[in-house]
Amino acid sequence: MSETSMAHQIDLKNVWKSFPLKAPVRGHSFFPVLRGLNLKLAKGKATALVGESGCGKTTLAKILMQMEPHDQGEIRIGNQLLGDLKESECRSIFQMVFQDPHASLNPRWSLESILREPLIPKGLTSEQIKSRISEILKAVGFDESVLSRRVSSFSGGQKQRLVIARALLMNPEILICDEPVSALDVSIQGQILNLLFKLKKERNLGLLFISHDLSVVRAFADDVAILYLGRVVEQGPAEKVLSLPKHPYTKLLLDSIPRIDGSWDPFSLAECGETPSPLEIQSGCSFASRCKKVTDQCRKKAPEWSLRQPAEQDAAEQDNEGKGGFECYHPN
Amino acid sequence: MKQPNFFKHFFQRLGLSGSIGFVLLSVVFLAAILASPLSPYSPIEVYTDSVKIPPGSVSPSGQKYILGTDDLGRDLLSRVLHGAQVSVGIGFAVVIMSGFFGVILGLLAGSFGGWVDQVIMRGIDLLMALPSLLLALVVVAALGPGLQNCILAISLVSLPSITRTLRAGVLIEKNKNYVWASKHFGSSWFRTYFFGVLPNCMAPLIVQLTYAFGEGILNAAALGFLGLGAQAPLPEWGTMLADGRSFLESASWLVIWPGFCLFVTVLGVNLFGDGLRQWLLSTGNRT
Amino acid sequence: MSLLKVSGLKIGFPTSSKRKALVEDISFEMLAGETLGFVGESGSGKSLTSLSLLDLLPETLKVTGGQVSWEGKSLFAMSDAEKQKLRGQTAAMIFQNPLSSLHPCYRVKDQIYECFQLGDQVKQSDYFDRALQLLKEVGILEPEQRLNAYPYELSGGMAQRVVIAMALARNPKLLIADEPTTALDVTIQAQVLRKILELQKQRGLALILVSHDLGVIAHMTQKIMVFYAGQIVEAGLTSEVLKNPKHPYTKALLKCRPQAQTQEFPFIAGQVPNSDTWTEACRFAGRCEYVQEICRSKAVSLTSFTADGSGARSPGAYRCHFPLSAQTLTSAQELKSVQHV
Repeated sequence: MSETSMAHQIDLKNVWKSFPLKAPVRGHSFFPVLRGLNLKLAKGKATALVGESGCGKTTLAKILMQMEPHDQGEIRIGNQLLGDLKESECRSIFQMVFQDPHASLNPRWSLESILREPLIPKGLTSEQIKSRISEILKAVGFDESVLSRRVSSFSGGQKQRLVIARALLMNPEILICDEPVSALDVSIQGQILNLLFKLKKERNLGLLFISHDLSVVRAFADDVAILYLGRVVEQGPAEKVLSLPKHPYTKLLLDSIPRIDGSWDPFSLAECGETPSPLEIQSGCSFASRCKKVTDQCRKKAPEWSLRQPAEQDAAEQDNEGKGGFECYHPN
Repeated sequence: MKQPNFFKHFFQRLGLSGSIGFVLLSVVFLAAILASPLSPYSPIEVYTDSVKIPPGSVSPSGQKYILGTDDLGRDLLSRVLHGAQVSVGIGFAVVIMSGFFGVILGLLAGSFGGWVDQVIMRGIDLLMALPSLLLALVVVAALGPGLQNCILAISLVSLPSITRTLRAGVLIEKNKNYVWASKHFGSSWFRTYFFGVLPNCMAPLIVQLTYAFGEGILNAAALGFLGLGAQAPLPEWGTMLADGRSFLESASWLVIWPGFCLFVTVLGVNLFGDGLRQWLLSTGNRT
Repeated sequence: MSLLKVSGLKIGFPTSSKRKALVEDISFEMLAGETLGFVGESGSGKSLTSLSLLDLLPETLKVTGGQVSWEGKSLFAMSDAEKQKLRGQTAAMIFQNPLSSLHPCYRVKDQIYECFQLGDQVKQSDYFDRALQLLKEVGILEPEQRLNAYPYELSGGMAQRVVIAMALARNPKLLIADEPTTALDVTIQAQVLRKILELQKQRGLALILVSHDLGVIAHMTQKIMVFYAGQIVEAGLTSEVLKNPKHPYTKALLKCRPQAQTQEFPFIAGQVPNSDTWTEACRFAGRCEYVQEICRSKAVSLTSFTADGSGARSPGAYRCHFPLSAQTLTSAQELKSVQHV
């Protein structure tokens, strides 16, 4: 076992990532997607990364999978840097599940070929490969008879379980799920979520769950990190953050979810505009242009990270990290 | 699946014109395969007493010639049937050559991108800049006339469309997650692209190859007509057209029958190709 | 007179194909100013139904039965010119992806002008002012600049507002919205939905909202129709249906929305059955937790009911042999479930 497998934390500090623009816009030749992002991921926990389009969550997933290099900042896996990891090592730490199950599995291959593919470079014997595959299939609720079936014969929900199975073949420590249930019907989302939950418990699998659907996140995640324009604006235990949001953007997100019980009132949400382009933000808080509580201070200097203060009953909590925090001058 | 169901399904999918094309092509293929048993005489045997006999007539020595004979006394029917063999053979040779190299180049250009893509595509652009026949002529002029060089030249003419079709398919599939997954799991380029991506690009490729088949036959006939393709005494429809040209008034059947066969073959290929395209490439949107 | 009346609508394949109908037995009525929600998952037939109302079905499908009448006139008896008038002037439709509803090569103002040109309500000299007014009405900031913009310059939310403006250009009486906010960010979704509600109230528009999201339907519509496997399985007042569902599918769907932290996520086992296997019997039988033997064999039809026995139109309907009520929800039956993998 390598040193990294004993890691307890994935630590991202001040990560920046920009993409070059084909033509300069407003004097900028690069488009910043991640702008000084800080995030900690604990092993065996489900951390949800919540944000809308343009917040950088998919870019972050790509960086962790070594699909893109980051420009600045430090990403530590245990006591090693992400950049120092070999591809094969990275593969056994991070695995990914995508949103569209139909594009994730080669429609022309048999299921067996798809599941054998990750194991071939490892140099296992035919017997070992077979037993590994059946073990994984059982873990996601299939038996061996499905191996001979063509991929196109499976439904969306079943395909997503197979994608998870394939990811598990590498025995990863952290499973990055990029909107894993968004493309599925509501009535079968629960199946996938149950599976992920079970795997998290049985295998101490860490989950980085990227979603825009706060109702799923609320039910599923241990920790939640809210992303806005390439920064984590609030992070903490899901229960606390989603019931007592500190950052105005978190509150806006929560207020925007339609609720069946009749308590939802979109008329109470004042027009808050749209997400600006990151190129427009020269200084100050990224959310200033849409915040109801904005002051000059907010526009001049970006707020620092503040820790959440524990409520009286939680005073026993010693672990500062676990409480979470936010960056705002005027928290709720 | 029961037999009758399969055929009905097949012809339904091809559509009316596609089915007609299929039937025409089948006739030509049959003629090509059964050329020897079906031909009443040898295609190159000269019967000195049967020069320019009109179709259906009998020679002085009593031999019947269904399609007549040419100016050297060779039976036209036998030559036409063997001409089918030659043409179909050329068509397949062109498909195999341009298909093989086109797929490789398309895969390389699409998967690597960057300067590899640029070099390959600019080379393809060069090939496309010349009109197809002119390009074939240039190649044959450089290499010398003959069937093999003719096939080589025509394959070069069909190469760009195959390469571009495949490159387009690769570019579309490249962004899909399963390709990323394949690469991510450490599969070799070969496994990812040749075994993974290529099967998903087959539909447009098959259609393009069908057109290349027809194109090949037509171009070979043109080269043959110019005397640069199949050489005498090999019966090839284009060459036969050239030979028969001088007898347009006295023995018009020498031009009509080879011309008719060419027409039927190319029409069949195009109709079938269109039917295939409709079948394989149409996406019905079901809400 | 009702604005829209649909009875026994059936949508299927036109040729002598032996394939089963994709949508059957759809009946409802809309009066001016009413709001109706179509709820269902993929393959339920809600989108097809909404398209058929304006005769916008794809070429491969056709209405094979039933009637659709707009203000008393049958849709299928209308000439092409009358249908053109219907679309845009009596009713308008907006779709899920705003950037594919807008022509990428024309400016916003030209696309709005095109809507005016199709009718005769606005004089050419007034086009600009009317377009400006429309954009303001849908809540677009800096409308003068937006008029000259191309669709690719607009964000998703703004583009959808432009689409709504175009739909309202000829003052239709009914708006059909097919998943209008599904492709938008959740904060923008709330704003656009609010705007649709505002417009509905201000203009007295009737609204048919098609969505898979029960939360959206709950707030936006007074009446609801739940679709499953090409049929309506439950209909009624939105507040009633969502509080006391009569059909097991509706109940199961409601349970699937996670409300709080949970260890076990509810889901509906199995899959929607393939349209080739649909029969007259209950199509939800394979996945229903209250299923009985009779459900799989006996034909089931839509049963209407009135709340108090009075009133000309029934406020509710369900398609079930054993509709849920307070009595049937015993704990024993709650525990019985049919699990498939």
